[in-house]
Amino acid sequence: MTAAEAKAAFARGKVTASALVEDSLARIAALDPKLNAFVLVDAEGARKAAKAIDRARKSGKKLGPLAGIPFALKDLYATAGLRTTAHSKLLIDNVPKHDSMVTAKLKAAGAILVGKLATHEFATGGPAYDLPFPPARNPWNTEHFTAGSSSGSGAAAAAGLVPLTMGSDTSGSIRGPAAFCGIAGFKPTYGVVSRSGVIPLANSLDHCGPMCWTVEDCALMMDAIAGHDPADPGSADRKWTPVSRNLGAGIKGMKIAVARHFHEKEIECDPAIARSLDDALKVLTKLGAKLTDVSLPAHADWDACVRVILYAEAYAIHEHDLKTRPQDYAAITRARLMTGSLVSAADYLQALRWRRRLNTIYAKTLAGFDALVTGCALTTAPKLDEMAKPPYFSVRGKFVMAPFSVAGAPSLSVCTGFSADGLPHSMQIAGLPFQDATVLRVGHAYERATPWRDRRPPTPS
Amino acid sequence: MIDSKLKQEWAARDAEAGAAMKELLARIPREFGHAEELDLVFQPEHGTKQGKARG
Repeated sequence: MTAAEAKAAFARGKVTASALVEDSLARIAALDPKLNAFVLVDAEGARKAAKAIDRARKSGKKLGPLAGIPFALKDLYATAGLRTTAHSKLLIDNVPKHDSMVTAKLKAAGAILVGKLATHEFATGGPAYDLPFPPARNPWNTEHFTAGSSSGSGAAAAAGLVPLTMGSDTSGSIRGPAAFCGIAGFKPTYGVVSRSGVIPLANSLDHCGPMCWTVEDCALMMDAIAGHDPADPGSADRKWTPVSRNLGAGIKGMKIAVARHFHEKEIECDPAIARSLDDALKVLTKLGAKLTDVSLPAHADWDACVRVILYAEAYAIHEHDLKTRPQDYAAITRARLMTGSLVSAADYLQALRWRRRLNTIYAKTLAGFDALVTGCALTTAPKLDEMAKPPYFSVRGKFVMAPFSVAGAPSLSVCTGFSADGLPHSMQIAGLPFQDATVLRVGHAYERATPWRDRRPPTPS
Repeated sequence: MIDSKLKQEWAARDAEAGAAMKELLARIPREFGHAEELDLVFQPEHGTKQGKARG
Protein backbone atom coordinates (compact mmCIF):
# COMPACT_ATOMS: atom_id res chain seq x y z
CA MET A 1 0.00 0.00 0.00
CA THR A 2 1.35 3.45 -0.88
CA ALA A 3 1.16 6.32 1.60
CA ALA A 4 -1.53 7.99 -0.53
CA GLU A 5 -3.61 4.80 -0.42
CA ALA A 6 -3.03 4.40 3.32
CA LYS A 7 -3.99 8.04 3.88
CA ALA A 8 -7.24 7.58 1.94
CA ALA A 9 -8.08 4.31 3.72
CA PHE A 10 -7.34 5.86 7.12
CA ALA A 11 -9.48 8.90 6.32
CA ARG A 12 -12.42 6.63 5.38
CA GLY A 13 -11.99 4.63 8.58
CA LYS A 14 -11.09 1.48 6.65
CA VAL A 15 -7.80 1.02 8.48
CA THR A 16 -6.31 1.97 11.84
CA ALA A 17 -2.84 3.32 12.55
CA SER A 18 -2.17 0.17 14.58
CA ALA A 19 -3.05 -2.03 11.60
CA LEU A 20 -0.75 -0.02 9.32
CA VAL A 21 2.10 -0.31 11.83
CA GLU A 22 1.55 -4.05 12.36
CA ASP A 23 1.57 -4.59 8.60
CA SER A 24 4.85 -2.70 8.34
CA LEU A 25 6.43 -4.58 11.28
CA ALA A 26 5.33 -7.93 9.82
CA ARG A 27 6.89 -7.10 6.43
CA ILE A 28 10.11 -6.01 8.14
CA ALA A 29 10.23 -9.25 10.18
CA ALA A 30 9.62 -11.35 7.08
CA LEU A 31 11.79 -9.58 4.51
CA ASP A 32 14.45 -7.51 6.22
CA PRO A 33 16.69 -10.41 7.31
CA LYS A 34 17.45 -10.75 3.57
CA LEU A 35 17.54 -7.03 2.78
CA ASN A 36 19.36 -5.44 5.76
CA ALA A 37 17.50 -2.20 5.12
CA PHE A 38 16.98 -1.49 8.83
CA VAL A 39 19.71 -0.93 11.42
CA LEU A 40 17.14 -0.43 14.18
CA VAL A 41 13.44 -1.26 14.47
CA ASP A 42 11.48 0.50 17.21
CA ALA A 43 8.45 -1.80 17.33
CA GLU A 44 7.47 -0.76 20.83
CA GLY A 45 7.66 2.96 20.07
CA ALA A 46 5.76 2.54 16.80
CA ARG A 47 2.96 0.54 18.45
CA LYS A 48 2.65 3.12 21.23
CA ALA A 49 2.48 6.00 18.74
CA ALA A 50 -0.09 4.14 16.62
CA LYS A 51 -2.33 3.53 19.64
CA ALA A 52 -2.12 7.23 20.51
CA ILE A 53 -3.20 8.16 16.96
CA ASP A 54 -6.08 5.68 17.04
CA ARG A 55 -7.21 7.00 20.44
CA ALA A 56 -7.02 10.57 19.17
CA ARG A 57 -9.16 9.69 16.15
CA LYS A 58 -11.76 7.99 18.35
CA SER A 59 -11.98 11.05 20.55
CA GLY A 60 -12.55 13.26 17.48
CA LYS A 61 -9.25 15.15 17.61
CA LYS A 62 -7.96 16.78 14.43
CA LEU A 63 -5.13 14.68 13.05
CA GLY A 64 -2.15 15.55 10.87
CA PRO A 65 -2.00 14.90 7.10
CA LEU A 66 0.14 11.77 7.48
CA ALA A 67 -1.73 10.35 10.48
CA GLY A 68 -0.99 6.69 11.09
CA ILE A 69 1.41 6.21 8.16
CA PRO A 70 4.67 4.42 9.03
CA PHE A 71 7.99 6.02 8.11
CA ALA A 72 11.66 5.26 8.52
CA LEU A 73 14.74 7.48 8.45
CA LYS A 74 18.22 7.10 7.07
CA ASP A 75 20.35 6.70 10.18
CA LEU A 76 21.71 10.24 9.92
CA TYR A 77 18.53 11.88 11.22
CA ALA A 78 18.54 12.51 14.95
CA THR A 79 15.77 10.70 16.79
CA ALA A 80 15.20 11.60 20.44
CA GLY A 81 15.97 8.62 22.67
CA LEU A 82 16.72 6.38 19.68
CA ARG A 83 20.27 5.47 18.60
CA THR A 84 21.56 7.44 15.57
CA THR A 85 24.81 5.99 14.25
CA ALA A 86 25.47 7.15 10.67
CA HIS A 87 26.17 3.41 10.23
CA SER A 88 29.49 3.93 12.01
CA LYS A 89 31.41 2.52 14.96
CA LEU A 90 32.24 6.11 15.84
CA LEU A 91 28.63 6.87 16.79
CA ILE A 92 27.51 3.43 17.89
CA ASP A 93 26.47 4.74 21.32
CA ASN A 94 25.02 8.04 20.10
CA VAL A 95 21.50 8.54 21.45
CA PRO A 96 20.31 12.07 20.62
CA LYS A 97 18.27 14.07 23.11
CA HIS A 98 16.28 15.83 20.39
CA ASP A 99 14.65 14.98 17.08
CA SER A 100 15.97 16.45 13.85
CA MET A 101 13.62 19.05 12.35
CA VAL A 102 12.47 16.52 9.72
CA THR A 103 11.82 13.85 12.36
CA ALA A 104 9.81 16.34 14.40
CA LYS A 105 7.80 17.54 11.39
CA LEU A 106 6.91 14.02 10.28
CA LYS A 107 5.83 13.11 13.81
CA ALA A 108 3.81 16.33 14.03
CA ALA A 109 2.08 15.35 10.77
CA GLY A 110 1.00 12.13 12.48
CA ALA A 111 3.42 9.76 10.73
CA ILE A 112 4.78 6.94 12.85
CA LEU A 113 8.50 6.27 13.16
CA VAL A 114 9.19 2.55 12.74
CA GLY A 115 12.99 2.59 12.66
CA LYS A 116 16.31 3.70 11.26
CA LEU A 117 17.73 2.72 7.91
CA ALA A 118 21.10 1.60 6.63
CA THR A 119 23.38 4.12 4.97
CA HIS A 120 26.89 4.13 3.68
CA GLU A 121 29.04 5.18 6.65
CA PHE A 122 28.63 8.96 7.18
CA ALA A 123 26.83 9.01 3.81
CA THR A 124 30.01 8.21 1.93
CA GLY A 125 31.79 4.96 2.84
CA GLY A 126 30.17 1.93 1.35
CA PRO A 127 29.20 -0.64 0.61
CA ALA A 128 31.50 -2.22 3.17
CA TYR A 129 31.62 -5.24 5.45
CA ASP A 130 33.89 -3.67 8.10
CA LEU A 131 31.04 -1.68 9.64
CA PRO A 132 28.72 -2.37 12.60
CA PHE A 133 25.87 -3.33 10.25
CA PRO A 134 25.82 -5.18 6.93
CA PRO A 135 25.15 -3.32 3.67
CA ALA A 136 21.55 -3.17 2.46
CA ARG A 137 20.63 -5.41 -0.48
CA ASN A 138 18.57 -4.67 -3.56
CA PRO A 139 15.02 -6.08 -3.26
CA TRP A 140 14.85 -6.76 -7.01
CA ASN A 141 17.75 -9.21 -6.59
CA THR A 142 19.45 -9.47 -3.23
CA GLU A 143 22.81 -10.30 -4.81
CA HIS A 144 22.81 -6.80 -6.24
CA PHE A 145 23.78 -3.38 -4.93
CA THR A 146 21.22 -0.76 -3.85
CA ALA A 147 23.56 2.16 -4.65
CA GLY A 148 24.12 4.65 -1.86
CA SER A 149 24.39 6.30 0.33
CA SER A 150 20.66 6.11 1.18
CA SER A 151 20.84 2.35 0.66
CA GLY A 152 18.37 1.27 3.34
CA SER A 153 15.85 3.90 2.26
CA GLY A 154 15.93 2.60 -1.33
CA ALA A 155 15.58 -1.03 -0.24
CA ALA A 156 12.84 -0.35 2.34
CA ALA A 157 10.70 1.75 0.00
CA ALA A 158 11.04 -0.70 -2.90
CA ALA A 159 10.17 -3.72 -0.76
CA GLY A 160 7.23 -1.90 0.82
CA LEU A 161 8.61 -2.26 4.35
CA VAL A 162 7.35 1.27 5.03
CA PRO A 163 5.59 3.63 2.62
CA LEU A 164 7.62 6.70 3.59
CA THR A 165 11.39 6.99 3.94
CA MET A 166 13.87 9.84 4.10
CA GLY A 167 17.26 9.86 2.44
CA SER A 168 19.93 12.51 2.04
CA ASP A 169 21.75 13.58 -1.11
CA THR A 170 25.12 15.32 -1.30
CA SER A 171 26.19 14.11 -4.73
CA GLY A 172 23.49 11.60 -5.72
CA SER A 173 22.72 9.66 -2.53
CA ILE A 174 18.93 9.87 -2.95
CA ARG A 175 18.72 9.59 -6.73
CA GLY A 176 21.23 6.72 -7.09
CA PRO A 177 19.48 4.28 -4.73
CA ALA A 178 16.10 5.38 -6.07
CA ALA A 179 17.31 4.49 -9.57
CA PHE A 180 18.80 1.10 -8.67
CA CYS A 181 15.83 0.17 -6.45
CA GLY A 182 13.15 1.31 -8.92
CA ILE A 183 11.47 3.90 -6.70
CA ALA A 184 10.91 7.66 -6.75
CA GLY A 185 13.63 9.66 -5.03
CA PHE A 186 13.47 13.44 -4.79
CA LYS A 187 16.33 15.79 -4.00
CA PRO A 188 14.61 19.14 -3.41
CA THR A 189 16.17 22.53 -4.04
CA TYR A 190 19.03 23.22 -1.62
CA GLY A 191 17.62 24.85 1.49
CA VAL A 192 13.99 23.78 1.07
CA VAL A 193 14.18 21.00 3.68
CA SER A 194 15.98 21.66 6.95
CA ARG A 195 19.16 19.69 7.70
CA SER A 196 19.18 20.65 11.38
CA GLY A 197 19.74 17.54 13.45
CA VAL A 198 21.03 15.56 10.45
CA ILE A 199 24.64 14.33 10.56
CA PRO A 200 26.37 16.27 7.75
CA LEU A 201 28.65 15.11 4.97
CA ALA A 202 29.34 18.45 3.25
CA ASN A 203 27.38 21.44 4.47
CA SER A 204 27.18 23.42 1.25
CA LEU A 205 25.94 20.37 -0.71
CA ASP A 206 23.79 18.35 1.70
CA HIS A 207 20.09 17.97 0.88
CA CYS A 208 17.37 16.04 2.73
CA GLY A 209 14.62 14.45 0.67
CA PRO A 210 11.98 11.74 0.43
CA MET A 211 12.32 8.28 -1.12
CA CYS A 212 9.04 6.44 -1.71
CA TRP A 213 7.40 4.01 -4.10
CA THR A 214 5.64 6.85 -5.96
CA VAL A 215 6.17 10.52 -6.77
CA GLU A 216 2.78 11.16 -5.17
CA ASP A 217 4.11 9.87 -1.84
CA CYS A 218 7.25 12.01 -2.22
CA ALA A 219 4.97 15.05 -2.69
CA LEU A 220 2.99 14.15 0.44
CA MET A 221 6.24 13.97 2.40
CA MET A 222 7.49 17.26 0.97
CA ASP A 223 4.36 19.04 2.12
CA ALA A 224 5.05 17.79 5.65
CA ILE A 225 8.79 18.51 5.83
CA ALA A 226 9.53 21.58 3.67
CA GLY A 227 9.82 25.09 5.04
CA HIS A 228 12.22 27.58 6.55
CA ASP A 229 14.20 26.64 9.63
CA PRO A 230 16.45 29.29 11.23
CA ALA A 231 18.44 26.48 12.85
CA ASP A 232 19.81 25.46 9.41
CA PRO A 233 22.10 28.21 8.06
CA GLY A 234 21.40 26.97 4.50
CA SER A 235 17.63 27.07 4.89
CA ALA A 236 15.79 29.14 2.29
CA ASP A 237 13.74 31.89 3.89
CA ARG A 238 10.60 31.38 1.83
CA LYS A 239 7.22 29.77 2.27
CA TRP A 240 6.59 26.31 0.82
CA THR A 241 3.47 26.13 -1.31
CA PRO A 242 1.95 22.65 -0.90
CA VAL A 243 2.54 20.54 -4.02
CA SER A 244 0.18 17.60 -3.44
CA ARG A 245 -3.03 19.39 -4.38
CA ASN A 246 -1.84 20.45 -7.84
CA LEU A 247 0.24 17.36 -8.52
CA GLY A 248 -2.18 15.87 -11.01
CA ALA A 249 -2.54 19.01 -13.16
CA GLY A 250 -0.68 17.35 -16.03
CA ILE A 251 2.13 18.60 -18.25
CA LYS A 252 0.27 19.68 -21.38
CA GLY A 253 2.04 22.68 -22.90
CA MET A 254 5.12 22.39 -20.66
CA LYS A 255 8.49 23.14 -22.20
CA ILE A 256 10.93 20.42 -21.24
CA ALA A 257 14.65 20.55 -22.02
CA VAL A 258 16.50 17.29 -22.69
CA ALA A 259 20.27 16.97 -22.08
CA ARG A 260 21.13 13.86 -24.11
CA HIS A 261 24.85 14.48 -24.36
CA PHE A 262 25.56 13.08 -20.89
CA HIS A 263 24.34 9.58 -21.80
CA GLU A 264 24.83 9.69 -25.57
CA LYS A 265 28.34 11.17 -25.77
CA GLU A 266 30.05 11.40 -22.39
CA ILE A 267 29.17 8.46 -20.16
CA GLU A 268 28.86 4.90 -21.41
CA CYS A 269 25.19 3.95 -21.24
CA ASP A 270 23.62 0.49 -21.30
CA PRO A 271 21.81 0.39 -24.69
CA ALA A 272 18.63 -0.95 -23.07
CA ILE A 273 18.60 2.02 -20.67
CA ALA A 274 19.12 4.42 -23.60
CA ARG A 275 16.10 2.83 -25.31
CA SER A 276 13.99 3.14 -22.14
CA LEU A 277 14.95 6.83 -21.93
CA ASP A 278 13.83 7.38 -25.53
CA ASP A 279 10.55 5.64 -24.73
CA ALA A 280 10.08 7.82 -21.64
CA LEU A 281 10.62 10.98 -23.71
CA LYS A 282 7.95 9.77 -26.14
CA VAL A 283 5.56 9.39 -23.19
CA LEU A 284 6.24 13.00 -22.11
CA THR A 285 5.59 14.19 -25.68
CA LYS A 286 2.36 12.18 -25.79
CA LEU A 287 1.29 13.85 -22.55
CA GLY A 288 1.56 17.22 -24.29
CA ALA A 289 5.03 18.47 -23.36
CA LYS A 290 7.24 20.18 -25.95
CA LEU A 291 10.77 18.73 -25.83
CA THR A 292 13.93 20.59 -26.89
CA ASP A 293 17.51 19.32 -26.80
CA VAL A 294 19.92 21.47 -24.79
CA SER A 295 23.60 21.28 -23.96
CA LEU A 296 25.18 21.83 -20.54
CA PRO A 297 28.87 21.80 -19.52
CA ALA A 298 30.52 18.36 -19.61
CA HIS A 299 29.49 15.99 -16.83
CA ALA A 300 33.13 15.50 -15.84
CA ASP A 301 33.31 19.21 -14.97
CA TRP A 302 30.26 19.11 -12.73
CA ASP A 303 31.59 15.93 -11.13
CA ALA A 304 35.04 17.36 -10.41
CA CYS A 305 33.49 20.52 -8.98
CA VAL A 306 31.17 18.66 -6.63
CA ARG A 307 33.75 16.15 -5.44
CA VAL A 308 36.43 18.72 -4.64
CA ILE A 309 33.95 20.77 -2.60
CA LEU A 310 32.43 17.68 -1.01
CA TYR A 311 35.66 16.10 0.20
CA ALA A 312 37.18 19.39 1.35
CA GLU A 313 34.12 20.06 3.51
CA ALA A 314 33.83 16.43 4.67
CA TYR A 315 37.50 16.35 5.68
CA ALA A 316 37.01 19.45 7.80
CA ILE A 317 34.17 17.70 9.63
CA HIS A 318 36.08 14.44 10.15
CA GLU A 319 39.65 15.73 10.57
CA HIS A 320 39.82 15.21 14.32
CA ASP A 321 38.41 11.66 14.26
CA LEU A 322 40.54 10.70 11.24
CA LYS A 323 43.62 11.68 13.24
CA THR A 324 42.64 10.23 16.59
CA ARG A 325 40.64 7.07 15.79
CA PRO A 326 41.19 6.20 12.11
CA GLN A 327 40.75 2.48 12.75
CA ASP A 328 37.10 3.04 13.70
CA TYR A 329 36.17 4.04 10.13
CA ALA A 330 35.59 1.47 7.40
CA ALA A 331 38.63 1.34 5.13
CA ILE A 332 36.65 2.75 2.20
CA THR A 333 35.25 5.65 4.26
CA ARG A 334 38.64 6.55 5.60
CA ALA A 335 40.23 6.50 2.14
CA ARG A 336 37.49 8.68 0.65
CA LEU A 337 37.52 11.18 3.49
CA MET A 338 41.32 11.39 3.48
CA THR A 339 41.26 12.67 -0.10
CA GLY A 340 39.93 15.91 1.32
CA SER A 341 43.32 16.45 2.97
CA LEU A 342 44.80 16.85 -0.52
CA VAL A 343 42.58 19.84 -1.30
CA SER A 344 44.27 23.17 -0.58
CA ALA A 345 42.36 26.26 0.50
CA ALA A 346 42.98 27.74 -2.97
CA ASP A 347 41.64 24.56 -4.66
CA TYR A 348 38.50 24.72 -2.54
CA LEU A 349 37.89 28.40 -3.20
CA GLN A 350 38.45 28.03 -6.94
CA ALA A 351 35.96 25.13 -6.92
CA LEU A 352 33.42 27.41 -5.20
CA ARG A 353 33.99 30.07 -7.89
CA TRP A 354 33.62 27.38 -10.53
CA ARG A 355 30.34 26.31 -8.94
CA ARG A 356 29.00 29.85 -9.31
CA ARG A 357 30.12 29.93 -12.97
CA LEU A 358 28.58 26.52 -13.75
CA ASN A 359 25.33 27.52 -12.07
CA THR A 360 25.12 30.70 -14.14
CA ILE A 361 25.33 28.53 -17.28
CA TYR A 362 22.72 26.15 -15.84
CA ALA A 363 20.31 29.02 -15.16
CA LYS A 364 20.81 30.57 -18.62
CA THR A 365 20.37 27.22 -20.37
CA LEU A 366 17.14 26.40 -18.56
CA ALA A 367 15.60 29.87 -18.69
CA GLY A 368 12.15 29.56 -20.23
CA PHE A 369 11.92 25.81 -19.60
CA ASP A 370 9.65 24.16 -17.05
CA ALA A 371 11.91 21.18 -16.49
CA LEU A 372 14.93 19.24 -17.73
CA VAL A 373 15.24 15.51 -18.41
CA THR A 374 18.49 13.52 -18.35
CA GLY A 375 19.54 9.94 -17.84
CA CYS A 376 19.93 8.92 -14.20
CA ALA A 377 21.67 5.56 -13.61
CA LEU A 378 23.24 4.56 -16.93
CA THR A 379 23.75 0.98 -15.80
CA THR A 380 21.58 -1.43 -13.82
CA ALA A 381 22.63 -2.37 -10.28
CA PRO A 382 25.87 -4.40 -10.25
CA LYS A 383 26.44 -7.31 -7.87
CA LEU A 384 27.11 -6.16 -4.32
CA ASP A 385 30.24 -8.26 -3.94
CA GLU A 386 31.81 -6.55 -6.95
CA MET A 387 31.37 -3.28 -5.05
CA ALA A 388 32.35 -4.29 -1.53
CA LYS A 389 35.43 -6.41 -2.11
CA PRO A 390 38.72 -5.83 -3.98
CA PRO A 391 39.18 -4.58 -6.67
CA TYR A 392 36.17 -2.45 -5.64
CA PHE A 393 34.20 -1.97 -8.86
CA SER A 394 32.72 1.55 -8.76
CA VAL A 395 29.47 2.82 -10.25
CA ARG A 396 30.52 6.40 -9.57
CA GLY A 397 31.03 7.19 -13.25
CA LYS A 398 27.73 5.59 -14.28
CA PHE A 399 25.34 8.19 -12.90
CA VAL A 400 24.21 11.62 -14.10
CA MET A 401 24.03 13.27 -10.68
CA ALA A 402 26.60 15.99 -10.25
CA PRO A 403 25.01 18.86 -12.26
CA PHE A 404 22.04 19.04 -9.90
CA SER A 405 24.17 18.68 -6.78
CA VAL A 406 26.34 21.59 -7.90
CA ALA A 407 23.30 23.65 -8.93
CA GLY A 408 21.37 22.87 -5.73
CA ALA A 409 18.54 22.17 -8.14
CA PRO A 410 15.49 19.97 -7.61
CA SER A 411 15.96 16.55 -9.22
CA LEU A 412 13.89 13.43 -9.21
CA SER A 413 14.66 9.84 -10.16
CA VAL A 414 11.76 7.78 -11.50
CA CYS A 415 11.55 4.21 -12.74
CA THR A 416 11.35 3.80 -16.53
CA GLY A 417 11.09 0.03 -16.79
CA PHE A 418 13.18 -3.06 -16.20
CA SER A 419 16.09 -4.94 -17.74
CA ALA A 420 15.67 -8.46 -19.10
CA ASP A 421 16.92 -9.77 -15.73
CA GLY A 422 14.40 -7.68 -13.79
CA LEU A 423 16.52 -4.77 -12.57
CA PRO A 424 15.08 -1.23 -12.70
CA HIS A 425 15.89 1.47 -15.26
CA SER A 426 15.56 5.16 -14.45
CA MET A 427 15.30 8.73 -15.72
CA GLN A 428 15.99 12.02 -13.99
CA ILE A 429 13.71 15.05 -14.06
CA ALA A 430 15.22 18.31 -12.84
CA GLY A 431 14.55 22.02 -12.88
CA LEU A 432 15.82 25.41 -11.84
CA PRO A 433 16.08 26.02 -8.08
CA PHE A 434 12.59 26.30 -6.54
CA GLN A 435 10.89 24.60 -9.50
CA ASP A 436 10.28 21.67 -7.13
CA ALA A 437 6.52 21.56 -7.72
CA THR A 438 6.90 21.38 -11.51
CA VAL A 439 9.53 18.65 -11.31
CA LEU A 440 7.24 16.55 -9.12
CA ARG A 441 4.30 17.22 -11.47
CA VAL A 442 6.26 15.91 -14.46
CA GLY A 443 7.32 12.81 -12.55
CA HIS A 444 3.80 12.13 -11.35
CA ALA A 445 2.36 12.52 -14.86
CA TYR A 446 4.95 10.10 -16.21
CA GLU A 447 4.27 7.52 -13.49
CA ARG A 448 0.52 7.73 -14.10
CA ALA A 449 0.99 7.18 -17.84
CA THR A 450 3.24 4.11 -17.51
CA PRO A 451 2.81 0.65 -15.94
CA TRP A 452 6.03 0.56 -13.87
CA ARG A 453 4.31 1.15 -10.48
CA ASP A 454 2.24 -2.02 -10.94
CA ARG A 455 5.26 -4.28 -10.49
CA ARG A 456 6.82 -4.83 -7.06
CA PRO A 457 10.08 -6.68 -6.28
CA PRO A 458 9.83 -10.45 -5.83
CA THR A 459 9.84 -11.92 -2.31
CA PRO A 460 13.52 -12.52 -1.53
CA SER A 461 14.44 -16.20 -1.25
CA MET B 1 47.37 -0.12 18.02
CA ILE B 2 46.70 -0.39 14.30
CA ASP B 3 47.84 -3.69 12.79
CA SER B 4 50.21 -3.78 9.83
CA LYS B 5 47.72 -5.50 7.49
CA LEU B 6 45.27 -2.64 8.00
CA LYS B 7 48.03 -0.09 7.45
CA GLN B 8 48.93 -1.83 4.16
CA GLU B 9 45.30 -1.74 3.01
CA TRP B 10 45.10 1.94 3.94
CA ALA B 11 48.23 2.73 1.96
CA ALA B 12 46.87 0.98 -1.16
CA ARG B 13 43.50 2.68 -0.92
CA ASP B 14 45.03 6.08 -0.13
CA ALA B 15 47.21 5.86 -3.22
CA GLU B 16 44.22 5.02 -5.42
CA ALA B 17 41.93 7.67 -3.90
CA GLY B 18 44.71 10.25 -3.92
CA ALA B 19 45.38 9.70 -7.63
CA ALA B 20 41.67 10.15 -8.36
CA MET B 21 41.56 13.39 -6.36
CA LYS B 22 44.60 14.77 -8.20
CA GLU B 23 42.78 14.18 -11.50
CA LEU B 24 39.77 16.12 -10.18
CA LEU B 25 41.93 18.99 -8.94
CA ALA B 26 43.55 19.24 -12.37
CA ARG B 27 40.12 20.02 -13.90
CA ILE B 28 39.47 23.09 -11.73
CA PRO B 29 39.85 26.32 -13.72
CA ARG B 30 42.47 28.68 -12.30
CA GLU B 31 41.86 31.71 -14.50
CA PHE B 32 39.24 33.48 -12.40
CA GLY B 33 39.59 37.23 -12.58
CA HIS B 34 40.05 39.63 -9.69
CA ALA B 35 36.45 40.78 -10.07
CA GLU B 36 34.99 37.29 -10.07
CA GLU B 37 33.43 36.94 -6.68
CA LEU B 38 34.41 34.23 -4.24
CA ASP B 39 31.33 32.23 -3.42
CA LEU B 40 31.67 32.94 0.26
CA VAL B 41 29.10 35.07 1.94
CA PHE B 42 29.81 36.00 5.51
CA GLN B 43 26.62 36.94 7.29
CA PRO B 44 27.37 37.45 10.95
CA GLU B 45 24.22 36.35 12.77
CA HIS B 46 21.98 37.31 9.80
CA GLY B 47 20.02 34.07 10.05
CA THR B 48 20.14 33.56 13.78
CA LYS B 49 17.50 34.40 16.34
CA GLN B 50 19.99 36.64 18.12
CA GLY B 51 20.80 38.58 14.95
CA LYS B 52 17.16 38.99 14.02
CA ALA B 53 16.30 40.13 17.53
CA ARG B 54 18.96 42.85 17.31
CA GLY B 55 17.65 43.99 13.90
